Amino acid sequence: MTLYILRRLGITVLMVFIVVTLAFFLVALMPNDVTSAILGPDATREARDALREEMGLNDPALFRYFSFITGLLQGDLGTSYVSRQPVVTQVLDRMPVTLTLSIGGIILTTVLGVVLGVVAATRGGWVDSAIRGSAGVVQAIPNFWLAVLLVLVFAVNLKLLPASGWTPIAENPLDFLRSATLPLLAIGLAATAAVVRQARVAMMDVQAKDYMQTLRATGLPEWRVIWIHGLRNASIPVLTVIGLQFVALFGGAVLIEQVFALPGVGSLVVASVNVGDMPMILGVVVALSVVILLMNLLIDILYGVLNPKARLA
Amino acid sequence: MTIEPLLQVDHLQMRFKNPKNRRNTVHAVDDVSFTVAPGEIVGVVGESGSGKSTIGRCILGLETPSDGDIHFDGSDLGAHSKLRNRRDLASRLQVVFQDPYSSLNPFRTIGQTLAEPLQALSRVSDAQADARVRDMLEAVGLPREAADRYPSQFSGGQRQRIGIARALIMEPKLVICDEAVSALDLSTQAQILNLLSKLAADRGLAYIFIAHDLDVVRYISDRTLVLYRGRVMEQGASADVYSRPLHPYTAALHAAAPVTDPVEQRARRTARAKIVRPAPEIGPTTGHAGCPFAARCAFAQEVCTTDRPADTPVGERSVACHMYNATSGHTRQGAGMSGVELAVT
Amino acid sequence: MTRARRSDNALTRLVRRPGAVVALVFLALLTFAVIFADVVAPIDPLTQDLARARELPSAAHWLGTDGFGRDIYSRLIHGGGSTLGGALLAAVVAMTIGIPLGMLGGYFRGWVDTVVSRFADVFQALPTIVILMAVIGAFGNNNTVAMVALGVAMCEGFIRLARAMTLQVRRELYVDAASVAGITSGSILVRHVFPNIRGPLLVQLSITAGAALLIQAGLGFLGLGTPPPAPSWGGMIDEASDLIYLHPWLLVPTGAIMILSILSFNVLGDALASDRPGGVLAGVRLPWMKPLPVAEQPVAMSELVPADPKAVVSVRDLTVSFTDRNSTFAVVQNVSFDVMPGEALGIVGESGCGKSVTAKALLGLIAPGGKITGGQVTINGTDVVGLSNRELRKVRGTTIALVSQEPMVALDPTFTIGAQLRESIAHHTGRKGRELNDRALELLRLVGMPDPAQAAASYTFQVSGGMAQRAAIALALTGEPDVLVADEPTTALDVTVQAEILDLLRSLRKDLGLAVIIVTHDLGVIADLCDRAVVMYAGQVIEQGAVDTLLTTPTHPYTRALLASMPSHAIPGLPLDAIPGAVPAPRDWPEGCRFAPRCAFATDACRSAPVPILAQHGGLSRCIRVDEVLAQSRNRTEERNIA
Repeated sequence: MTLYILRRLGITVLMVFIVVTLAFFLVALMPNDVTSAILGPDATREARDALREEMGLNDPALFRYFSFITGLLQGDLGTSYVSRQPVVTQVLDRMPVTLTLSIGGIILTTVLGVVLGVVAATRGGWVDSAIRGSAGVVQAIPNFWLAVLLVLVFAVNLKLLPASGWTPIAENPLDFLRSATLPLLAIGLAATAAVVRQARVAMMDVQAKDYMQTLRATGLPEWRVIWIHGLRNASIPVLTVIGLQFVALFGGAVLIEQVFALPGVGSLVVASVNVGDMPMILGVVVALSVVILLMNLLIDILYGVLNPKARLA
Repeated sequence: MTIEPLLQVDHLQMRFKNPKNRRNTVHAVDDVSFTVAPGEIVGVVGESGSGKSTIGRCILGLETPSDGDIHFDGSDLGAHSKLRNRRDLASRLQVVFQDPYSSLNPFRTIGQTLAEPLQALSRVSDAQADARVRDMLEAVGLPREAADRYPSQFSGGQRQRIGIARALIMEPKLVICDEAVSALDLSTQAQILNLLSKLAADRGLAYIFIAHDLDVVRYISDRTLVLYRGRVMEQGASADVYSRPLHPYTAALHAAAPVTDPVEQRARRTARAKIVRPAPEIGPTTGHAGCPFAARCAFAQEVCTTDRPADTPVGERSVACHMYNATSGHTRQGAGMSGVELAVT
Repeated sequence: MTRARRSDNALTRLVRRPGAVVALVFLALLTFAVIFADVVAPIDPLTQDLARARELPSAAHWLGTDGFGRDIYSRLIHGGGSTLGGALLAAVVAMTIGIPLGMLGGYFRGWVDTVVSRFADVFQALPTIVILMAVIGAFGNNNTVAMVALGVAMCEGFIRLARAMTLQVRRELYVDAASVAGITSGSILVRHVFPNIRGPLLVQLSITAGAALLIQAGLGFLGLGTPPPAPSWGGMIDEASDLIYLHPWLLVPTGAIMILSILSFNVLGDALASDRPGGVLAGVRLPWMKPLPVAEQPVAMSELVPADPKAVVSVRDLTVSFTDRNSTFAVVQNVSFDVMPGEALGIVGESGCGKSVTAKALLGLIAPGGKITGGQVTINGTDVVGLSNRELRKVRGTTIALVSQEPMVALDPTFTIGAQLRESIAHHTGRKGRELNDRALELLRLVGMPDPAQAAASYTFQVSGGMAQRAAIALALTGEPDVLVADEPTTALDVTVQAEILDLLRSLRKDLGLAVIIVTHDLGVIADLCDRAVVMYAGQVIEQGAVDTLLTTPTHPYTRALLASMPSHAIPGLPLDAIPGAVPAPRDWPEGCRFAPRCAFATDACRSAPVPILAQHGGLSRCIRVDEVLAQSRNRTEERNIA
């Protein structure tokens, strides 16, 4: 197992490097005029040139890449064009909200999705039809539209939960829950539907396997057959989908933060795009990619834990 | 009278790196030599892991052997073969696979599947190809209309007939039947065996008939090769190999196949106990050096685990067993398996 | 040459599914409306009329008006172009890049595959929407550029799918056959690989289009992609969210069109996912076709098998039926037999004769769609037919246990052999800790594992087929049953390993007094292991009796023909005595004797009415021409002896 984890870890480090490189060349070398973003449209040509020189934008691409990588290794992602503050501190400031949304969302998604999927697959009949049908519809609902609808129902009409804003958990756990409930629901429901569908299909596949029949024939209680043996085998393909949904949730967080006016990375990047603050965008891309890769690593490790064949082969 | 062989396989080798243990090389096919004369049916019998299918795949060009020579009808197909394009061979060398479900493309009609090699290789018109396809279907006992249908509309036995039609439509000289009847029910298997025998006789076809069932091989083939762990244990005329096995492994294989007469079956069981050691799983393998069967062989001696037995001629046959080799030092040399008289139907 | 029936193509098959039709019609209408937006929605989507702002639907404004008094219907139709068109563009770009790359990786494997897979990994790790925002940040608010970029970012899904499917298809024997037939790699990819992976790729296309639609709208919601005031679906939802207090209606039409579009793509994808050519209607009886009446049996078989109180298993007139959409049909009918303690009974027949269904029914294990529709199965005095699952579980494992056909898949691959044994032992005996482990090792030793400790620590995929079957037998023994049902336990094994497993079953009979019911198609296995045999054909018992007489002087023509068709009984050079035709499917069972169409002895009397099973010549036989059968067998033996 240790060897398996080490190998996965090695692949992750390599992937971080490739993704960062790709992101750098994708974002930093794009042909946009940052100077107008900083100096405004009326600045003189000389002022622009001076600024470009000062920012090192006239240096060769490879040189800039190496200084970016050197900086990154020392935890420096550059300086925002707009705020003139280090990108790292701003991204790290905003990260907790986005991470809460996406990690909370994926936990909600996994638990709800797997349970409903397994129930649909094992109960069959109208229960299956109902779960499958609603999953199909829910999956088609855009999360940002759902977010607005949830605000309309629970905040505007029922006045049960706040329509916007964020309370950190350390400040007031109860208010945190109240402020996080609607965003988590909005972000997690569509992903849940996707997991339900996959878990249902996986469980139905597993139900048809010989070993399920063997286990039933030994007289084991049905709950053990389904929730221990069936679920462990079904979770192997489901894990892949959960990994993909996590990436989708991360993207979804950008939109959901916008609806609920949450101080996360998403609203930071929206603001940065509007003013062309490329170092900030690059910083966010790098930060998000690293989180996604770490999540993939976690999923790979879980995969190895659940599936001895992957670990031992 | 010597007939030029249609196929000559010399010292064929296929080695794989063991994925679980890098230092360990798996000899899937280990120095196998045999010939097939025109119109001859050669049976290759062995259990899983014997390398029997790999030999077939090497001849077909689906796998490249690690070493050795294969000469077929004037072409060199061996490990050092420069013949990259095997297209011109397709009309002379064909295959019938085991699994009648996986061997037909579900998205193509039977007509499309059968016409494909005709059209790819011999530039016949659509009408000509269609006529040949339907004639061929008739020859394998299917209705001419079968050409218009999809594989899913046929039973396992019918699909195997289609597979035979696909192999024969190019009028090959040699067909490799890779477990061609193994997946079929008994009554269907008999039908297909009869069909294959009849087609071989009518058309002068040669077969390499690969199977795990000694009875099937005895029935259909002129000569038989017995394989174990990639090596030829013995080869000779099928009737001889079956009724008077020389190699203890052949005898074990024979004794393990149950017969339907309960009295005779009890006798076989007793015979098996005298040939095979009662170890359920092969213990430490003897490695590449000795005889692969030594660990299970009731007659094995020191020399069997240390020296590789050479192919020893015994009359028209040959056997790779130290017992038959005077120079091996095996104390019961030449004794055969006296006391192990196998009941033969 | 290609005279494939015209009606059998992907589109015609698709329209047979109502959901797919609705989705297809909706998407077609929407596309039409979007293309001809000026005609379909003549009101200018940009014209403001503040006097008529925030209206509910009316004759003038079908879907009402927005905050600036603009017509919502018109804005939805005009805005559909950038959203729907953009989504399709992205999906097509993703497909165009992804499919060839994935197919190449899967087909050629090696380094090509490594490069392709890593490429896909990188794209999977990029947060799509943020990358798009970066692209927009660089290139400005250009929907086309953003959607092409989205397509590139989404190609990863196509790469993975095309690669996985190609790898799978590449292993199919028809690809090997085509390559032996001299077909080039290019032609194989186009003719053999692509058609077989097309279905899943279309599904992916449909799902990708839905996902791209979502992301395009998401960008619009952020004010990117399609700059306001130009209408876009996402932008309109943004406007709706601004007016949530004043005009919540605005959420309804904007959300509805998005949900319906994405739903349509997904429904279409699902329909495509289950598409297969040929035999679409195979096995489906349409409502106007009358279900065939299942032949009634004149004599219930139970009367012929006298009750024996000592029997550990007693089956009487067991009937198992399956129901599909339109009919119910029996696959096992009026099967009766007894098994005495320690006895070995064989159930033999070809596939499709119901032998496996019969055996599993003894444990109450019946595949979905089937149930026991008649008879009794008495195990140690308890009739298990009609018992609840909870009650059945008390019998399973402790009185009657199962060993199934494929040893490599019979045990859970995610738990060690030892863990599964311990789980079952704990459940049945309540043993714990050390005692539990000792018992597991004891069982592994009992089934002849050379190294029980190592076997317990192994997973099934780490041991050979013979060892896996021994482990499965050990698991079956955990509840100390009286009867072991072995369903083709040696079919998947090599003949030398088969002999060892049969030896094991024999020793378990002797040492534990275990009764064995073995299902097999191999009459030799019956001869080796069994005291008595039941021969089944087309769901019925056609012959039953002691093995010694049944296999040497069979009374039923089917048993006789099965024996004669065995290659071991054949003389090289002479044709085998093959049985013509094949076992009929349950729906096609003839009304008279079910074997009559394939039987050399059949007369009109055999075909006209169901044939009862009768006690004759020391056993039971479902044949009215037993005397003729036996007479011919005698002649045949004499002929052979002379020859």
